Amino acid sequence: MESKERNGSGRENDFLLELRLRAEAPELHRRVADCVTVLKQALKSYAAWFPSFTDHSALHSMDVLEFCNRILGDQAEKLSPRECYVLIMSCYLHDIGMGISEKDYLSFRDQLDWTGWFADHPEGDETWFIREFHHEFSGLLIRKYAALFEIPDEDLLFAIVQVSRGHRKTDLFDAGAYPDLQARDGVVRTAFLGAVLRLADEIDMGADRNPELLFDPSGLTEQRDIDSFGVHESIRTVEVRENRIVFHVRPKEPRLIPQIEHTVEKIRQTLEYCRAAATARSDLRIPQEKVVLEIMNTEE
Amino acid sequence: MTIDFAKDGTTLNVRPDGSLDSVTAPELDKRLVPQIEGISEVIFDLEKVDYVSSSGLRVLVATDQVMEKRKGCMKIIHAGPYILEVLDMTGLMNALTVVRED
Repeated sequence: MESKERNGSGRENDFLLELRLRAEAPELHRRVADCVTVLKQALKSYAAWFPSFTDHSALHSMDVLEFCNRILGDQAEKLSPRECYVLIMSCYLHDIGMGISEKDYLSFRDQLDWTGWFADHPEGDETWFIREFHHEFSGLLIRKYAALFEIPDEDLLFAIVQVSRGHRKTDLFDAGAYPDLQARDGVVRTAFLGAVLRLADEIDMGADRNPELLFDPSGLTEQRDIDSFGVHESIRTVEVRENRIVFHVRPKEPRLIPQIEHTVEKIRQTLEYCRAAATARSDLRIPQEKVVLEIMNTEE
Repeated sequence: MTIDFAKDGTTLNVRPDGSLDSVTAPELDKRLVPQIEGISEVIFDLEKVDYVSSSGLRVLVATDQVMEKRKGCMKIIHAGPYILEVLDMTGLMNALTVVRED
């Protein structure tokens, strides 16, 4: 297959991880392919807890995977096949905790000091708690359903759990939690993979990625949700270039500009953290050095 | 890219011509929205599609999700070797309904 592409527009990085995995480890690739069918269904359940959220189904996973490919660029060639597998699976599984079933929620919450959290957050509810800890729920669900996801060995399971959890909050500098796992057929650098996933997840904010087909904003009633969607709608597209990440923004309303700037500033902080973690904890790099905000006029 | 829409009862035939990538996929998404009202089956005829990126795939997956919600269906027909390879590589071959001629 022609992987190097034809007329620009970022195509040269399309499907790099998937191509490499299929070429180098067809058995692991088959396991991913089998998993996608299951996950396409499983990931839709986020809507039961979060009906007003923008898309967190398999479409979001596909976006995150695409952003990983773009962030990595040619460095994808330096990943071992096992690393490709871990990163692809983590792209698909990192948010599975958002759609946790009532039964699993009740059995897992004790592991997350839920009584302490609710004592500290008297106004909190289950939805908030799940959102706050969805990365932890993802890790617990991946471990519980590892056989269903056909994850073949304990090292790979550990890596997928840690990288998926690592898409937010966890300490990627912690060498105990994020070790390099050595195997006969290559290393798995969990800290680096976690850093790439965290950044890719954070920048999946472009309105062009929230299909009009699937989301009707007229159902939003809370001003906070309306504003949040307005910010999302204003970010028309996010472009990952070789050395920068560009947010193309057309503000829906001028009053949203401070919130948009705040959002982009948070992403700058995430980029700095992920770049630092990647550099400190691996021999690989996140090449994007800055986040650029390009505001278009509404007439453009 | 040009897109031809043809309705036959509650079936919508969609025939894009060109590349389905990050530039053209949002346009396809936008134009599909009014077309699928009252539709129970969407058929994507990809005979004239020479390239599909992740962005193109997500329109196919989104349409599939919409039709599934409506108890309808989405099919892909006339996908060329390149498109079939992309579907295989991404694991979507079995997750979507792809009608193969061989």
